[in-house]
Amino acid sequence: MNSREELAPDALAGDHSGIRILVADDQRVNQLILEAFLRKEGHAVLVAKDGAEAVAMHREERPDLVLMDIHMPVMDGLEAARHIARESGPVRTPLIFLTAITDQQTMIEGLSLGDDFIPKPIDLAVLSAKLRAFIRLVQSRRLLHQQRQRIERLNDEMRHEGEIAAHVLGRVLAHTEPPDGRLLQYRVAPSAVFSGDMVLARRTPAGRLHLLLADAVGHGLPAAINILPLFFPFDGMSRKGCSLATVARELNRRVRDLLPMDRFVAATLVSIDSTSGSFEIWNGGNPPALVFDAGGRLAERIDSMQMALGLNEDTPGLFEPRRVECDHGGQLLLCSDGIWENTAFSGEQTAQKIATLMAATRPEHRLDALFRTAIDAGQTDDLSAVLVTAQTSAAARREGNSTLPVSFGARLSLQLGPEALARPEALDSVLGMAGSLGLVDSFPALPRVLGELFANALDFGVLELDATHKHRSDADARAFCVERQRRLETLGEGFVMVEIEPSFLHGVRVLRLNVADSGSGFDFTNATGAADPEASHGLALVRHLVANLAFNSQGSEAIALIAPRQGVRAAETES
Amino acid sequence: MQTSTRTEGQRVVLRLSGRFEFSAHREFREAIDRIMQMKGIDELAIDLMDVDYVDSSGLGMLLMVRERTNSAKLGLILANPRGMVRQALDIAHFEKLFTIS
Repeated sequence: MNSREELAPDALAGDHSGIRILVADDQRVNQLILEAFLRKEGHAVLVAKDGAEAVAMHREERPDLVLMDIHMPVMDGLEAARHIARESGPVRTPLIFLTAITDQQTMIEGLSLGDDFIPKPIDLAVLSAKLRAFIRLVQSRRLLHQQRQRIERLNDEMRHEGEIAAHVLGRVLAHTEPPDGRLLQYRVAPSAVFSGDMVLARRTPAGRLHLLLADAVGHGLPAAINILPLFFPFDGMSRKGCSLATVARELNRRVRDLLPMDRFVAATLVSIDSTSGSFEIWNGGNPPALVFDAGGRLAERIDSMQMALGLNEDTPGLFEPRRVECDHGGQLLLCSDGIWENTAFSGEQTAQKIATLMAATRPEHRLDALFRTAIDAGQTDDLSAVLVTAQTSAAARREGNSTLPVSFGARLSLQLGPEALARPEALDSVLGMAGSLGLVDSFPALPRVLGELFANALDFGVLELDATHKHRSDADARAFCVERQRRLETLGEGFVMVEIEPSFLHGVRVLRLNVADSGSGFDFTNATGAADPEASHGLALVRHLVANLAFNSQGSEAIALIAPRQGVRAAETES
Repeated sequence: MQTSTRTEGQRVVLRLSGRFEFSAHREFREAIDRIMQMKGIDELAIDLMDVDYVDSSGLGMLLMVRERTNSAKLGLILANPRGMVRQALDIAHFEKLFTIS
């Protein structure tokens, strides 16, 4: 609103402020008397000589008040008043009849079209007094009209802003994975146009399904805005295969950084390994997640483990998820407090009430039943729920899936040049890629083995550092590090190549790791004295971790075969 | 929601009753404003005995009070939560931020 509009009604508040008056009278004398008098009183005057002219002038000039004679040629005053009333719109122009006629019928008809009568001949003192009353009426009508316009404008702005927000939120949410109706069902039922609840789903590169059920403080647009910042980190980090704890910690940080201190977002994060029937779950401030067995009986509840997103300290231990095993056909139900506190379930034994409903309903209809029950009981809050149906590895195999992550069959091959090698996170990014393919989960020794072989290739192959100095004394080690950093920064050429590829050894699945470098190589067989490469190159550790380790003839390429972790091997040989 | 305030020595007790939700925002804030201007107070106890519902906006208001009492070096206690209110504080793990008695 601008300040001029605010001031306008006050500026008109004085009794002497002029208004615009339309006078309709066919008598020239009356016209002259009224016009002179009204001008003297400080008003602007328009004069019409009959009813038709009065209607036309009213239409064009929109006066504040009409003084209307009744007996006029062409169109009489009553007829003209009828037209004016029709054309005035919602705020009718006040109209006073000037007449010598005082019969009851005319009075009644006149007052249905106008607001008052002034008898002729006109007593100017009476006219002046009546005008003052009407001026007050005009002013308050004008004020009302202005306020109404302002409200309409604000309403339009709000609607427009709402449309933009709805568009953006809709576009964002359109990018999340839709429920597939089998493994994953979810639904969000807002209590207003905008939802403060949000469900996001995204598959990781290794085929895990990441889920987020978030419930922001309050309802409507502000709540919807508060959950929006969660979308991008959740989506991006899940796509990269980050762990659930890493995602949860980042989301907590975002909410802390972005939202006002009294705003937070209750959230449950789940990572589903669709081949093993196990979940990882982290519940921060949401009602308990419920696990049901295949018969729909309540098997476990996962209560809120930490505070909601935005309230927790940025400490890694707070975001460690809990692991939950689930039978084939078992289900995991997440719901927001809109369902938990709904009168259909609230009070004592909420989990049991929900469980009773679940057990009484066929698995594929359970989510519908939950929402129908809550909505029938009266919805006062945003409602959201996620239902995940577990499939164990045996069942997954029957359906033709591999027991190992989808990445089995993928081959990771990377060559890192001088610029990439100079970055401190070079090894991290390689491991990150392997991790996002699920390879670290299946082959836990990979990071240690790759770490050692990568360091050897870089330090002794590409940078041609002298390994004998690395482990002698503290001073030597420091000098070694300084020299290493200097060579890294000035490195003009060279590369380390890493290849990671699933393979077989004696019928067991293994991971073949190949690390080669552009250096001149090293004689790994010539192990003598202080320069023992087994020790200086950390090879004893590597040999301990791998099923087999070999080097090419120059020693510039290492090939390691890494066995899967015990559980995975057992599962493999059994099938 | 209704509020009433009484002092017991250096402690001021703000008693809430009814539904502690977004619509209570103005009343609650005004009560807190009055309390923050009182002299000779070293502790604020918010008595939740007669509160039968709290929503996330209500929890947000508690966070706001905590911020204000912390910066004014006042103690803060949430007293007598029961039923649904107790449950909401448990789910939110507010025992990590507040003394609840």
